[in-house]
Amino acid sequence: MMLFKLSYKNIKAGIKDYAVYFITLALGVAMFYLFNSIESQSVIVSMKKDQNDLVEIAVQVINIISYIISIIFGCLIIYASRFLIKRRKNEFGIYLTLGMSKKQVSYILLGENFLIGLFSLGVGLIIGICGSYFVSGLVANLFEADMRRFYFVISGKAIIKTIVCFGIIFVVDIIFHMFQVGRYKLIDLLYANRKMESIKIRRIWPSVIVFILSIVVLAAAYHLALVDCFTDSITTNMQLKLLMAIILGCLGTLLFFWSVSGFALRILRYKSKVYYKELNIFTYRQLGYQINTNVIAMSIICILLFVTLCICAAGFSIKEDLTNKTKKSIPYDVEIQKTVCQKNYQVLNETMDRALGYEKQDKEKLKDISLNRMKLKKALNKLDGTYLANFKDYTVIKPMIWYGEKNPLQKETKNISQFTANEAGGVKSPKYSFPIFNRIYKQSDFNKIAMISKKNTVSLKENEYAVYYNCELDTLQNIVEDEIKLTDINICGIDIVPKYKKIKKATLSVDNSGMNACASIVVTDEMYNKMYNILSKRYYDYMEQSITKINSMKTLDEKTNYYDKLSSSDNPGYEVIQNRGMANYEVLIGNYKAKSSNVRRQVDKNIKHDIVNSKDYVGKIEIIGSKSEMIDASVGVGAITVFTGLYLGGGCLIVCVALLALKELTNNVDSIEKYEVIRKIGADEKMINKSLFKQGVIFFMIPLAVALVHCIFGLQFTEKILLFSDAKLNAVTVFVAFVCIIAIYVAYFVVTYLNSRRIINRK
Amino acid sequence: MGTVLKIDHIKKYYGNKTCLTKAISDISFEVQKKEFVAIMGSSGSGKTTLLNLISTIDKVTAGSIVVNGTEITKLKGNKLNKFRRDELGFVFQDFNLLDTLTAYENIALALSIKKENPHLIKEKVCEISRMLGIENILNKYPYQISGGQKQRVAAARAIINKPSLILADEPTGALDSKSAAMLLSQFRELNEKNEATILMVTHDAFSASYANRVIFIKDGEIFHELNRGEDKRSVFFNKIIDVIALLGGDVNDVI
Repeated sequence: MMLFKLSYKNIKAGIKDYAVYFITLALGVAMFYLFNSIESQSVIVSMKKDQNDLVEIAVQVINIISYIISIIFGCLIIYASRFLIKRRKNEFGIYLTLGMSKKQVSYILLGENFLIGLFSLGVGLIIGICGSYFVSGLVANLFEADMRRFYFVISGKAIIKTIVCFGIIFVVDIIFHMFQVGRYKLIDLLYANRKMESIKIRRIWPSVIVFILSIVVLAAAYHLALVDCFTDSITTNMQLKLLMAIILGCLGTLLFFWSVSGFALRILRYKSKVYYKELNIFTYRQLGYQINTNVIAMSIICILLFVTLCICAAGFSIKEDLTNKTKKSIPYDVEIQKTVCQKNYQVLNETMDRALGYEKQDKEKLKDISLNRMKLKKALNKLDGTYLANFKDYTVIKPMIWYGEKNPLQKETKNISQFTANEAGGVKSPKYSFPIFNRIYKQSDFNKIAMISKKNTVSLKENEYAVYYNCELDTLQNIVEDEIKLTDINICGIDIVPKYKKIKKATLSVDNSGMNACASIVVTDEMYNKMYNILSKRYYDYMEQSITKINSMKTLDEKTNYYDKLSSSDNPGYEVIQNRGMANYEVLIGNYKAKSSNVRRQVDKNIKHDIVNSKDYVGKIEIIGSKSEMIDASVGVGAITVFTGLYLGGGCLIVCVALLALKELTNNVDSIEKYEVIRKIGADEKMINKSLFKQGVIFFMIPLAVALVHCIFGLQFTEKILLFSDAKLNAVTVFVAFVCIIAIYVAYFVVTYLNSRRIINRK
Repeated sequence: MGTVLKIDHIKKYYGNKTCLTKAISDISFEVQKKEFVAIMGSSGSGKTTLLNLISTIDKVTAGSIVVNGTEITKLKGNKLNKFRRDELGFVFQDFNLLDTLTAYENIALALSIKKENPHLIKEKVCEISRMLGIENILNKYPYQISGGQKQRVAAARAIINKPSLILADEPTGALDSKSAAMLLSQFRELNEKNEATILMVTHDAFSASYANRVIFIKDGEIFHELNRGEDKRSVFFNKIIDVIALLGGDVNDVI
């Protein structure tokens, strides 16, 4: 009990020494609670019920980050309490000489740690609970949830999780210190204050050389990331270059911090007016020493800050952009697709089956055929008789897929079959290779879509065509424009001429991923029918020939071999087989009657449920996209990005500034005697405070400044990468993120400065 | 010859009514310009307290201290700092050089704190270091030079502002005898050629023998005073030793 009293008194006396430690701990606890309580917030709970799995994913992401954050905080706390112990070695020495056992000394430490931990846990939880009130508003906003459902909840689960997690951290911390105390030698403890520190002062000239080198390395890293990464066309090469850029960036940062103080001192010494003014010699030397002894820590802090800035800025921007883009890019509520075959296609299939020696069609197959031939509307009605009643307006259209091996629109002849989905949709290089167009629409269908999505209709002359770019991606459009020539072309042996000189933009299908993210051709209905007939006939004739050939063969092996070859891409008739006009599909697009997003969501859910549950229709009817689902998805992805950004970024930031603050404080504690000397030489308190302030500002600013410079380039890189998915960095959100970060930074700086002043002016 | 330091019946008490410690019960003396005065006493005699009072680090309980015509016991805040900056120079037992600064910068710092014109700094530092024989170590850091050199740098720092009074607190305490002798003869030289007024606190008779005058303190009061006059240093040294023998307590104290 006596020991506990001692612990309590120690804390009471040294409460201000613990300020940074305490604040960091409390902030950590608050943040931990905040993000872990999100799961239990009423908004999220209700969203979990009716929205998608993305909320679940968001919760899981938060869980994973929580583990990372708690590990980082664990390390920080151990480091921070090491600082506190360092200050008190002498005191422990006295305890030991008074006859206390090491065990008892560790009990004192344990008591102190326990008290501080308990206190900060309590305060942190209170901050967290208050904060979560505001955060759940933000969360509801992020998920674009109905705010009326919002009420405030204190999450017992999150509290327990926080207590357990930080409890473990404390236990580890305490074990670590018990171990340390056990290793102390009395002499070291008693003379801890007098021990001369070995100082590392670097020579000036190597610093200058290394500084120049670091600038060169950094410039090379920036150049690699911003220029070289985007000039080459092979994706893997880019990753390699990016890796190189990161390594060079880290190396450059390290060299920079190694040399910056030496270099700056060299420069400053030439400016005798600045250097020899008041306490400046001391201030700069002290700073230089501080930076030199903390090269690795400073570099890590700088890089962490850079990552934080980028994550926060990019996270918010992507979220904003994604949500806006999604809302804009889906002009109608739902798009449903079904393969619908012509009768003679079925007949052909049956003939082929017989030729290959298959016996009479079994019941399943017959059912399959009848389903294949069923029109989309009928199939939907069969699935759910009331579904179509949900629509305010809808239309069924019949686009034709074009698998032209040689694309008539393309400037250079390229083989479309070479493209993989990855290359077409993913990141490759500014010089993309695309399937230029792959759908043919008839004018009336196009105008139906235009009516539903309230866009302009088109009217073409007999032999005219128009090209519509089926995507909202501005950047990709430019690339496509580069590749497409709008001249007279020939499709299926018919000559057509362009109506417009430019490619137009129109969303004809919401499926704009991969192969579909490209242009469509619109022709008149007559022309469409002509093409359709030509393609169908071509296919029919080709298959008839093949069937005759198969029939003439003797062994079954030969037959199946021949049949298999037909569908391989090196078959000369491949293009004909792919462009089987007779086996195409129908697409239903439309808008729901209901205005409430919940009802729409429910309608989507019901039909989806029906499709999945009815075995017969599996694969036959397919929901290409529904507005509510896509918005939910984008909001979800956006929210996850923001959560990740805020949590990880915020965590890193707190750790960074706490580290900086501790380094600064440690240094000041070690320099108390120096200030004493300076005071005796005649420096007044004003000068000393000014020097302390300057040291603090510069020490805090240098990593931030370097991180900001990294950011200028890093964000440019991010923006270039985002271009591929057409997200843009939002200047306002980037600005807000920066302001938040700088606010936390300044707060920590002020606490540190006041604390340093207190340490130095103690006497 | 003016009076640089005039101490008039100062008292310094620590503690409260129930437990009073009289660190200095009553001391008065004067130091004239160009004097080199040593204050001797055993530990606990109050010599460090006296130095602290003169250097304004501590406040007197009663009495007055006048330095160069200024009553310093009544100074406050910035005036106090200004006084310390302009009138006093310090030399400490453990040198107290700033280990992150070169010798040159350590000396220059004293000037720049005094807001000296930056262009004159170099000239002044060079001049003083020539006098103390430390020109060749100016660009070295404290950890690269010997104790004697360190103390000479500290001395240079103390006198560069030409203070009216140099306070030296056991300046030879951390030096070997050779370096100590060298430093002290330089003190003498400063005193004689540069007309520096030095007040040195020491408990070492050898160091004290370099002074013009030695004041002995015992239990917070002046116990004895010795003037060197025209004596040789060795003679003066023996006189000091004699007083020290008495200082420890005379026969009457032994029961």
